[in-house]
Parts: sequence; structure tokens; C-alpha cells
Amino acid sequence: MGSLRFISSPFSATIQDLGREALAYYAIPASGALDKKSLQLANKILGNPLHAPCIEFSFTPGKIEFESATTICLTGADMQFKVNDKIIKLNSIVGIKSGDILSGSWPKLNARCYLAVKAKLDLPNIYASYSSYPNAKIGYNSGANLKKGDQIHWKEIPLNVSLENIKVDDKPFCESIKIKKAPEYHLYSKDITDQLIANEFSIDSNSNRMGARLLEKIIGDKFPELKASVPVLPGFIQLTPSGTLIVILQDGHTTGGYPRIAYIPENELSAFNQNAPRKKFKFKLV
Amino acid sequence: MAINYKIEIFDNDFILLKNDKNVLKEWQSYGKALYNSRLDFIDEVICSEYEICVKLNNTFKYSDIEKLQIEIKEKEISTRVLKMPILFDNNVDWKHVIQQCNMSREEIISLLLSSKLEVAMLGFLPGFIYMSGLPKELCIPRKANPKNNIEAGSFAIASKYAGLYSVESPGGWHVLGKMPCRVLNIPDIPPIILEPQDIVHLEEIGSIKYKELNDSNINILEYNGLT
Repeated sequence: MGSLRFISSPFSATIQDLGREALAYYAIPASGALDKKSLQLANKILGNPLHAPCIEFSFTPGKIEFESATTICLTGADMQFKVNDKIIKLNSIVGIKSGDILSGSWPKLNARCYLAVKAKLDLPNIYASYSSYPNAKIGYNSGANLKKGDQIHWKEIPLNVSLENIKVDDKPFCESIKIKKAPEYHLYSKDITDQLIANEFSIDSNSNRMGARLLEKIIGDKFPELKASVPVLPGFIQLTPSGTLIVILQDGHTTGGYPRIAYIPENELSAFNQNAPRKKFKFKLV
Repeated sequence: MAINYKIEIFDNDFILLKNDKNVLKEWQSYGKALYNSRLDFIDEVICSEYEICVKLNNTFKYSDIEKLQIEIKEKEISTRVLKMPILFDNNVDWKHVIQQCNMSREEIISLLLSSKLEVAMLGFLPGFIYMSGLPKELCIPRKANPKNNIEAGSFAIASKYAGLYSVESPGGWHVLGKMPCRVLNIPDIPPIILEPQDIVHLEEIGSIKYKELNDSNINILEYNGLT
């Protein structure tokens, strides 16, 4: 058995894997990593199952003390990680001794980082997933954000991998996010849909794993409204009557009352979710 | 019985089925049958009053569309009738509702107690229950500014629905009372024990009964003598 302990609280961190399946019918969202590609990469580098749970950090990681020797890998946003005082590289196999302290800082470009441990983490599994979902109190510590004092235990698995065959795409940040037309796209005038493509947008810091609110509004006289709530999936972009765009994310509602103007395809969501707040990007209609 | 819908296909990402003149009961039965079919190419089914969203996976082929035509058998249309105990408390929202409806608190409660509500859909958040059948006198718009925290178990109204918040959440509906029985069933299957099509009659309870039920952790089916 091994363990780690948070000795200072991260900005926002939870346990995530690839999420749950087939429960949106009951209004239980899939949850899972905001950047699934980085989560899978971390697991792949360590030779873990690709769907194994990792710690997902948004913005800053806090400080972690390892209470036993292990092997880890960090992927995604570059939070300038250090083990004790030594800078360590992303996307690499890092040996950890008992008592080592992992720390990092606010990333310059991206938003999400994943910490994988070469071990089987001892965590609650609900509906075939370890992902935290705080609204329904699902997951480690009822899905709450990880904080100072939290301890995660595991059972060691011997390391038996080599990095040679793993291709690493180290540019998760993307200034152009692909979108497609969603069901209500045709309700909007060309002036409005043109703004969606021509304008620059950024994620408001008042966003969370349920949804990303965009800072820059769409300008128009009158926006269409729906007569009833309609289904939504992660990646769907809603346009509110006040001109605000909201992107539904992994912990998001399964139905919503705002028109769906466009959607980010599933395989593009990792790139979208790596945009740091206030970092400008554009949408590209495909 | 065959179901009628209009179909919109969004690449290999999702399909939207739009309710084409079916009554809500048939539509919800179809949604449930589609969910329970566990067809290989379907990852998620989300069923709202007028639309069903079918999330596709990469095994989907265009020819799979005909597999969505699932027959609904008469017996699959549920006729479950349930009592739902409510403590009409002194929530601050009452003042606005009395004003908007131009009725007394007693008249509003009496109208609610005599209503035949029906679970219209599940959605929004886990255990949020949309119930149709709200008398038109009580159909008032949702709040302009949603509240940050609505307590778990709150019974509320907005637009044409009565609703139940099973988990604490932000929300823009007008809260009129509290429901002490459990509706969420996590981590078991099904995670929510009320279903679309359930007929719901509200039953007024006092604060002593409320506390007793709340402390007993009873679920809504057990309360109705069903398990």
C-alpha cells in the first residue's frame, strides 16, 4: 500500500477518469476528464489502463507529499512542476521517493493537468467510474474538491513500460476550436452566426466543470427563446437571451432551456477545455 | 403502437427525434423503450417532452436509423399513481407567488392538492422531477434572477410545471414547500425511482410528520406501500 497527502489545497482538483455511460437518461451527466486526451496519455506513459483514474488539476496544483515511493506522470497544462526543488518534465516517467513534495504554479497557457500514479488507486467506484460529481455527492469525499489534508491510498503495480513507442503531442492549447451547427442554429440571423465565427472569445473565470461561460457576448436586438427544455450534451453551446454563450461541460445539465446554436464535437472538447480563462480563441465552423 | 417523429441527424455525433403529435405518455414510453433497448450504436438517450436526443458512438452506420423504430406495447404505458407528501412551509417565495397568482395561500394550496400531476420528464440535475398538470392559474414565469442555493427536497413551481429538487442546486423556480421522502437512489439502478408517466397527487403534511418522514430516510415508493 502507498499514499499521498495534500499539504496545501489546489485551486480546483478532483478525481476523474473517462466518466460514466448511459446515465444521462436519469439526468446523471457522464462527468470524466475535461481533457480526456491528456488523461489517457498520462495513463499510457505509465502503462496503466487508459481509463484509470487520475487527479485533474485546474489552474494550480497545491502541494502534495508522497508518503511512499512510487512512479508518476504529469500531462496537460504546464504548471512548472517540481519534486522538492527539482523541475520535472511533463509527459515523462518520474520516480518518487517517500517524503518527496510535488508542487507547481499557475500555468501560462493551458488550464488542466493530470497526475497519474503507477498504482491501483483505492477510491469509490460508482456506476462503473471513479469520477467525482459533486452535485450528486458521487466520488471520493462525496465528489468535493480535493483540499489540504486529503489522503489518497493505492496498491502498487510494478512498472513495466518504455516511453519509446509513445508519441506526445505537446501542444494541447488551440486558438481555433471546431464547431458544428446545432439544432437551433437556423433560428439565428446571419449577423449573429457571423459574430460566432468572426469574433474572438474567451472563457469567463466564473466557469466550472458544469459549464464554461464565455466572456464576450453576442450582440443582437432580440434572441429566440424555446417553449420547453430540450436535451443537451457536453460540448453544446447555448445562447442565452442576454447574448451570453455557455458551453455545457462534462458535469453539465442534461436538459436546458436555452437555444443550442452550435456544438463542439466530442473529440475537440479536450482542446477547448485546455483554454485558460481570458485566453482568446476563435470558433471555426466545420 | 408505432411512434411518429421527425428525425434530424447531426453527422455521426447525435440524432434528434422530434415529437410529431404523439401524446406525452406514448412519447415517454418510447423514450424509455429506446433507452432500454441498449442498441450498440447508442451511448446516451435523453428524453424531454418534445425531443429525444440519441448520442451516437463510432459504430453508427446510416442504416441503423431504422432500428430506432421500436414498437410500444400497450402494457408498457405505465399507470402508477403515487401520493407525494408536502410540507407547505413559509418559504420567502410565497409572497411573490400570492401576488402573481392573485390568490390567497389557502386557495393556492387547495388548488395544488386537487391537481393531478404527471411526471413529464427527468432532467436538469439528478433527481430533478418535472411534473405537468399544474393548474393554469398557477403558471407563473420563473424568477428573473435564479437563486444560488435551493435546498434538496424543495417543491417548486415555474411556467407550466411543478418541480422537485432532489439535490441542492441553483434554481429559478418558486419554492412553496418541502418533500421529505427520498427520490434519488444512488448508487443503485435505477438511480431515480420516480419515472415519467407516474401520476402524482400532493398530500399536505405538518411539520411533525415531515420530521418523522425525513428522519426515517424512507423513499417515495415505500411511502406509497410499493417496493
